[in-house]
Amino acid sequence: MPRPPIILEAEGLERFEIDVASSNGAGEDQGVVKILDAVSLTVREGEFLTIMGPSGSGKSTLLHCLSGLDRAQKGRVRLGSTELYDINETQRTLVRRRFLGFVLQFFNLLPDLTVRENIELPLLIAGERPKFHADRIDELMEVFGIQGLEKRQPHTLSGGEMQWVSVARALSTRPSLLLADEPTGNLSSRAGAECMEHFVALRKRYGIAILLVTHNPRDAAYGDRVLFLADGKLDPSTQLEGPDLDAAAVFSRLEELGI
Amino acid sequence: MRLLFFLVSKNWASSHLRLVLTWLGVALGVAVVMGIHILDHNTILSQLERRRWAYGEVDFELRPKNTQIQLDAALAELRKNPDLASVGLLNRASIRMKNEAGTVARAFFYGLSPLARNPFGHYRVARGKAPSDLETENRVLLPDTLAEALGLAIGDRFIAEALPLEVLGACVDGRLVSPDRKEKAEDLPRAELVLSGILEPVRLARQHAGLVVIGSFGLANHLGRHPRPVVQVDRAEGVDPDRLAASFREDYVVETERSALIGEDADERAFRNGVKVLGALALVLGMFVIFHTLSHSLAERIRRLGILRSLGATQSQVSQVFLLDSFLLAVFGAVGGLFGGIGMALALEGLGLTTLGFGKTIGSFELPWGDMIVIALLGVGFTMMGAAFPLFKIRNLSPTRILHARDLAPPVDLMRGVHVFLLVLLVLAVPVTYLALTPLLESSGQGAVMILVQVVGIIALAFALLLLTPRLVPVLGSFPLALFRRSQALGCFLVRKQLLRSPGRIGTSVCGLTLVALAMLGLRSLTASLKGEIHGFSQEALAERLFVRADSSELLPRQAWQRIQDLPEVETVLPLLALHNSDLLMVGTESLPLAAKGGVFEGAPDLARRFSKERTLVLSRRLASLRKASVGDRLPILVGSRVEQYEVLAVSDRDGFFPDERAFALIDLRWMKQDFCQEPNIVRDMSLRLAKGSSYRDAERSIRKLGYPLSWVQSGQNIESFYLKDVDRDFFFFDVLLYLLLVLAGVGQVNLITLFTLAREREIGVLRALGLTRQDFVKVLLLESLVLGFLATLLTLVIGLPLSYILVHGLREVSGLSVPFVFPMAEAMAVSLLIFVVALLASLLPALRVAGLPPARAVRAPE
Ligand SMILES: Nc1ncnc2c1ncn2[C@@H]1O[C@H](COP(=O)(O)OP(=O)(O)O)[C@@H](O)[C@H]1O
Ligand SMILES: [Mg+2]
Repeated sequence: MPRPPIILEAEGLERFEIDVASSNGAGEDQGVVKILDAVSLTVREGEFLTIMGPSGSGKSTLLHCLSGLDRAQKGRVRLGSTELYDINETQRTLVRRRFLGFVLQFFNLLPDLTVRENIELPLLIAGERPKFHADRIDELMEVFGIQGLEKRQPHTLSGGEMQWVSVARALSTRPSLLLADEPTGNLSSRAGAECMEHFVALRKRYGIAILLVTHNPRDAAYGDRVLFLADGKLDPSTQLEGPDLDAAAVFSRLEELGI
Repeated sequence: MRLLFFLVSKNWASSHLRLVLTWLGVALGVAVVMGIHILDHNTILSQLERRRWAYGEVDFELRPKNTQIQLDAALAELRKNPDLASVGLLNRASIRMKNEAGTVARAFFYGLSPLARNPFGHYRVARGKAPSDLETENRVLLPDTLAEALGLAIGDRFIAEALPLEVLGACVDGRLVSPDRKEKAEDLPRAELVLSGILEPVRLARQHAGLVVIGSFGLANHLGRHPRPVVQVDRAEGVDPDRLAASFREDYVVETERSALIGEDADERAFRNGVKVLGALALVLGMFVIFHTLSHSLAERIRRLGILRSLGATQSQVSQVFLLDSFLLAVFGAVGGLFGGIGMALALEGLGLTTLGFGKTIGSFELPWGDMIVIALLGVGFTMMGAAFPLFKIRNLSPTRILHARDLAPPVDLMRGVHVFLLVLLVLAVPVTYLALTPLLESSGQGAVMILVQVVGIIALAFALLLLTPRLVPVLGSFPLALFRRSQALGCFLVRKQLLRSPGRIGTSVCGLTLVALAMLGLRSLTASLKGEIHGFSQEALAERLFVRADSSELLPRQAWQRIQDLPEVETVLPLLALHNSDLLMVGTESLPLAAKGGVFEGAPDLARRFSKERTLVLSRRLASLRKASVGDRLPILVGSRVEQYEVLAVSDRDGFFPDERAFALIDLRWMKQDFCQEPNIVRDMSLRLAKGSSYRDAERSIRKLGYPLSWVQSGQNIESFYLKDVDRDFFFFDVLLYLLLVLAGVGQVNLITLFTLAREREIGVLRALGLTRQDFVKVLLLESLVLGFLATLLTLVIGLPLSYILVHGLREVSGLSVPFVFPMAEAMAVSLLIFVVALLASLLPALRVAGLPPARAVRAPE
């Protein structure tokens, strides 16, 4: 069976921050913190890839750099057929709009918009008329079981409901890749598990590729493939893949790596 | 305390932009108010100084109409008047002085009462001392030059005697009286005087080229031949001079020393009233900007406050942090405003502007520290109030409610109720106090105040409508949005949400901009209407006229009028003989041309006859309305030492316009001779009505050909355009002030939008993460300011029309000009455009800032 084409490819991503506080000693590296250190990875169409890393390992930074929300100082990112770092900010945004859905670490719903308006927002941003996509919005709300909440304001929702809304929002433009930044981070473990089941179901239903970062081994085990990120380094040889991928396997790999 | 300063410094470090904007808002608000005040202070100071330099600190001179009046009783009455700070008597006498060596000098004797106390500062003693007030006192003061001329030293004696009548002369029935018999020298009133001190060459001592003697009032009465004592009064601090003058008019002929002519006086008053109203406006707007900048800057940070609370800080600890924060900002802002205001006043003064219009000079630059500190404190006060307001609103909220205050629970609107508060405070309390402290100078009772009440009322009404029913904002705002529904669907959607979410903030911005726009529009309509009035006047008084003035060396004799009258280009000749009599400009002329075609007595020969036979006059419209006189009234006119009643025959501008002065009274040359001993066959000025179809230029050429030495020939047209230019020139000052106010409103606007955008950083990050480009975002902000501009324009036009009407109506009341109402449509459009530009510019800074924000950072922004 031929492998599906690559949808996202990153090579040698390096990201530094000037850290004023840690100016200890002399040398060229004075005060510079490496947040991403030569990170390379690929995501194929329809694949569910999870990246496992402890808090502060650079997961959010990596997602921001991959999506073009931010730039790495070194390396390249190809999204579809576009080299993200060869184009300007506006063009990057347009590409992101077309290919990506983004589930942010915090729910980040807009407070004045109703649930439905929040979900329709990316369509509006893309210059489309939500009316023409009403069927899909309805379907998404049904998938996440939030049909009844349409007219509600975000501050009246539970944490889980907020997260369903924000995932539904990320999917409203039919992206081919969904980036999720610790979607279960602010949820109870039950709601977290439910959330992960949703991702699995989504992939089945829409054939969408998912790149999810998490610090929770149980969540990581939902992926087809798990990469491990530690101190901004991602070693491809440590990845887990295959039929016997489960939480226990992730745990033991973490033990091995000493994370 | 450590915690306090730590948190405040952190607050400041967290956003330099917010810090700078808040500071700027406070500083600019204070600076504009301060600048206007300093300038006004110095303008008035220089005016007073100029007057005092020439004379003394006398506000009015009163001459009793009834010459038989008991001076002592009248004086006692005036001394009881609480509006008067000082009351005194002055009499002049012409004398001849003789020293022991027989040297003679003529001089003017000024008799003062009180003399020693010198309450008006009529004189300053350089050496020696001032004599006492005693009736029997024979000691006097002389200027150095006069004392030297007579070889007198302090303590020396000399003789003073009244001038014989034949030298003095007096106008009695048209003749300078020389009595039938010469007075015997020994019959002349005389006195032996002692030189008591030497005068500094200032004030009275500078009059009459220094030929002045100052002594007691009793001495002057003794030496004077025609006692014409005047009562001098100085008003108490803060008393309206015009109202005071009006209260004396029944019993006295009132002369103002402030300016010789009543018309000029009225212009100055109107102008300063305008400045005062603008000052009040600046105050309101400045404090409005300050208050809002602070309260919004705080409201947007209110979540921090919630976090501090949830970490165990008490409400009062938290309040202290934020109040200290604002207090320090307020003080820095006020100090900045103080210097800014001084700079502004210096700059305006440098531009040649004064609060009395162009062309007055300010000699001084004094800083009224007391008032300045009050203004600065006011700025600090409003800053603190602005800070206290949101704190007050959350005093009963639990920390978790505060945490959710902005992001999640829009119903907890921190700024709700602020508008009622501001409306009461700013629209009513501040202006009322301001105007109570610096009352408008009025000439017509309560007129000016009534107009102000109407103006404030209508503005308050409109603003109240917008601010107290914020639901109007999204409703009205949806109209301009409808235009962009297709092309900018997202922008419209987001802006509409904004309108729904914070109608109060947007309403506030709209009101701020509208206030300035209204002031501009009001001013424009005043200018337009004034010009309309000038046009109307020119139709009546200037059209087809040529005004001619002879060289002062050689005046125009009756024969010249005749020759000019015979020119084919000239229809009628009106000779004009001007005389300043107390506060009135009287112009003598002939009755014949007045009865000719186009003249005021055209078709009314009996009036023309009465004009020359009886003591009558024709008032110019302006004088009539300033004096509130109409046809049939009798005006008391000072004639020599008596008062004669002149009847008003007509009120008209048709004839007799005396170049430069529109408030005048026409009387027949015959009466000029009879009552004022003016030679009736020679005049300096002439007004010519041109024959149909002849041009100014031809007429001027023909007249010059006659060979009379003319210093000045002006067409009515020229004079009209000069007047029109004058209006523009005078209003330029207001323009400058208004542009300053516009900048102030603009800065307030920038502050509000920026603070708001900064607070939305995270939200904007989300939008960016969802695919919004920078350009998209800038468009949204621009669209928002477009809506703002639309609302402000709408409000400006809706209020502007009635407001302009009230203003023009008020001008009519106060100035007594028959001003037509002209609504300047083109200017209204220009003002609207300006408002749009300011609104757009104001959103540019936040737009650029947000556009420069990396979206990843925004997403990470603390919740
Ligand atoms: N602007 C910055 N300056 C310095 N260090 C930063 C900055 N942003 C992130 N970091 C650091 O980079 C590391 C990775 O951050 P992040 O990607 O948010 O981690 P994660 O999402 O895995 O918890 C952290 O150690 C964080 O402190
Ligand atoms: Mg993270």
